[in-house]
Amino acid sequence: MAIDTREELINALHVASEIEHSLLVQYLYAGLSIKRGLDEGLSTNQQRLLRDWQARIYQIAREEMGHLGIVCNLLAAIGAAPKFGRRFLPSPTGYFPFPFDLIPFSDEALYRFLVFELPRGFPPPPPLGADLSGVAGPLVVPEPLEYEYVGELYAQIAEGFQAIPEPDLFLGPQAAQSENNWSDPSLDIRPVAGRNGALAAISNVIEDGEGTPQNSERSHYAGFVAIRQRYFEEGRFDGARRVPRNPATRPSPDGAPVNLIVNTRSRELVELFNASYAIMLLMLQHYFSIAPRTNGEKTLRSGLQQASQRIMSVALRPLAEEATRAPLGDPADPKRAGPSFEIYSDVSLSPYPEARLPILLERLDGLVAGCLELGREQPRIAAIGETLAILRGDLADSGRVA
Amino acid sequence: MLAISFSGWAQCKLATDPDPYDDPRGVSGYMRAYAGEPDLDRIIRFQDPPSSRTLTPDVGVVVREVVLNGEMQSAHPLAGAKVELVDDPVFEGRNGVIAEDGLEPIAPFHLALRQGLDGFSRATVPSDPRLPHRLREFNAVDLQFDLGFIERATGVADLGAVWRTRLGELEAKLPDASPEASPAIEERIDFLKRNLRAEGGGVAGFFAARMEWDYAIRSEIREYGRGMAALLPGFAPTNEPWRARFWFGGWDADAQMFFVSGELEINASGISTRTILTRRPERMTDIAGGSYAEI
Repeated sequence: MAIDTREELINALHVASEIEHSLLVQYLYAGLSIKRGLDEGLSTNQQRLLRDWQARIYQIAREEMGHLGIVCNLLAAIGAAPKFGRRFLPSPTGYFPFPFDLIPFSDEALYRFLVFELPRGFPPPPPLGADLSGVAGPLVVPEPLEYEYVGELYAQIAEGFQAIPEPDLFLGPQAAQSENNWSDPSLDIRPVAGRNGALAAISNVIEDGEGTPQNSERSHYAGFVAIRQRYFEEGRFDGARRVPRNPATRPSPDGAPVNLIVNTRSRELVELFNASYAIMLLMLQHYFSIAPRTNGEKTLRSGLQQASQRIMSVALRPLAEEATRAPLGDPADPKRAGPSFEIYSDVSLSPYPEARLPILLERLDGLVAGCLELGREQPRIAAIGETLAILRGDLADSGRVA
Repeated sequence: MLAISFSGWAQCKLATDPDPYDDPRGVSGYMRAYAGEPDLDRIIRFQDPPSSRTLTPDVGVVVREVVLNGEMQSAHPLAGAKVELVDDPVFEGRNGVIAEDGLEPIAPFHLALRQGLDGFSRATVPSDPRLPHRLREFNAVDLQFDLGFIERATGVADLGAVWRTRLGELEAKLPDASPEASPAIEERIDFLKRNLRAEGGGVAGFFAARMEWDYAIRSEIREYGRGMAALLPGFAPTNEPWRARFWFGGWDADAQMFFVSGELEINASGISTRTILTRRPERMTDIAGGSYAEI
C-alpha cells in the first residue's frame, strides 16, 4: 500500500525503528554470549576467531544503532517523535519468516542474521546445519538494492518522502536532529535536510545491510556470510556460553515461551541490566526531543548525548557480560542467565519538559542504589554503581545550566 | 631544592573505547589481549611487567639526573635508581565519565625510588575524598601533539618505520611458530598491517601525543631498607609537599608501551601546580584521522 500521508509515513518509520532496534538487540545478545577465555575450553585459534566474530557482530550492531538514529532524524525532519519502545521478545514480526528471538551464538543465530540482511535477488542462505563446503561468498551484489524482507518497507518510506509535497512535509526543527558527532563516527548518523537528504539517508541504511558493488565486503550480509563460512570450516565448535534462548526475569506478557531466570541474585543482576538499558533509551528519547534554542538547552542535550553513549560502555555491556556468567538457577548447574533486554514499560517521555530530567535522575538513583547493593558481593558491580553515580551527577549539572 | 629527573619506557595493557574500561580482552577498541596472552589489567608499570610482547623496548624508568640547589650531582646515590609507581595505578577515565581520553588522572599515584633494597616513596592525597573530586583533581594539565618533541625524547622519528620492521620480523617468525602461538602472531600482524595501511598510520598517530601531569605529593613518606639515609645522604626533606611534573607520550599501541619523562622536586618552596584540564575539545578519533574502533 502506498504511503501518501504524514500519518502513514510516521507509522512506517515507527515500524522501521522497532525493526532496527529489535535486530540490534538480537545481534548484541549473540555477541555477548560468545566465550572469551581459554579457561572456557577454547584453543588459542578459537579464542582469536571468536573475538574477531564478536567484534564484527558488535560493529554491525553499532551500525544498526546508527540506522535507528537515522530513522529518528527522518522522524524529526517531518515533525514527529522518535520511537525507542519495541515489542517484548520473542515476538512475531510480520516481516521475516520467523519471530524475533534472543539466541546465543550458533549456526541458527547466524542463519537468522543472514535472512535478516538478505539482499533482494539472493537465494536464502543454506539451511541450518548445511554443508557449506564450496559455497561462494557474496562478493557481488545485484541491483536493485533492497532488503528482501524489510526492503519493501524502506521502499515504501522512500516513496512516501517522494509523494508528499516537500514544503508540507518537513515541519520539524533541524536542530532536533542528530549530527554524526558521537564518539564512534562509524555510526554515520546523517542529518536530513529535505527530500533528497531523506532519500539519501534511506539508501545509506539499505546499503549498510546488503552492500553495494563497491563495498559489498563491508555489508552486514557479507559479514555474516564470512563468519558462518569460517564457523563451518572450524567444525561449528561450541563458541557460546550456556545462556538460554530468550531469558527473562518475569513471564512474557503475552504468554510467549521464555526461560525464566530463577536464581535470585542473577535476576537482580539482569534487572539492573534492563534498568540501565531502559534509562539509556529514555536518554535517547529525551535527546531527540530537544531542538535547542538556548545555550542551556544545548548543554543539556549534549549532556544527554554523552550520558547515553557512556552508559553503554560503563553499565550495559559490563552488566550484560556479568549476566552471561551468572547462573540461571542452581549455581551448580552450568546453565547461565544472560541479558534479557526486557523493557518493562513503554519508553515514555514526560510531556512536561521540566519533569523529564528529574524523572531520569530518579531512575539513575535507583540504578546506582541497586548496583551498590549487589556490589557488596561483586566488586565489578559496585564499580559500575560508583561510575554511574558520577555520570548522574554530571547529567544533573548539565540540567542545572539549562 | 633537590631535583630528580627520570625517564624510560613504561607499559599499560588496557582496553579502549567503546569497550568497557575494565574489559579483560578488548573487542571493539583497538587494544586487545591477543589469543593466549594474559588479560588486560590496566596497570601502569614502570618496572618489570609480568609479560610483554616480543620486539618491543625494555620497560624501565630510571633516574637520569640529580641536581641539588642548581648543581649537578654526578655521583649521587640516586643515579640510575629505579622509579616505580606502586599500588597498581591505572588511568581512571572510565570511558570518559571521570575524564576524557588524554586527560585521565593516574590513581593511585604513589611514586617510589629504589636503589637495590633501599628506597622511599610518597603519594598524592586527595583534598576531597568524595567521588569524582578525589580523582578529577588529578587530571592531566596538558595534552599536546608534537612529533618532534617525542622524537627528541625517544630517538624514534617514525613509529611507522618501527612497525614495518617489527612486521617483517613477525612475518618471518610465523612459519615456525607453534599452533598455539600462531593466532596471536597473526593478530599482531593484522593489527600492524591495518594501521600501516590506514590514513595517517591509524593509531600510530597517537605516538606524537603527550599527556602532562603536575602533582603535589603530600602523604607520609615511606622508607624501605636503609631509606633516605642511604639515598639522600646529607639532605633532609621537609614536610612540605613534593612536586612531580611529568609526561607520558610516544604511545606505541602494538607494544602497549609509552615513554615517561619527568622531574621530582623535593624541598621546593611554595609550589603551585598547574590547573588541570577538564575538557578536551576534539575527539581522539579526529586526531587519529578517522574511526579507530575497528583499526
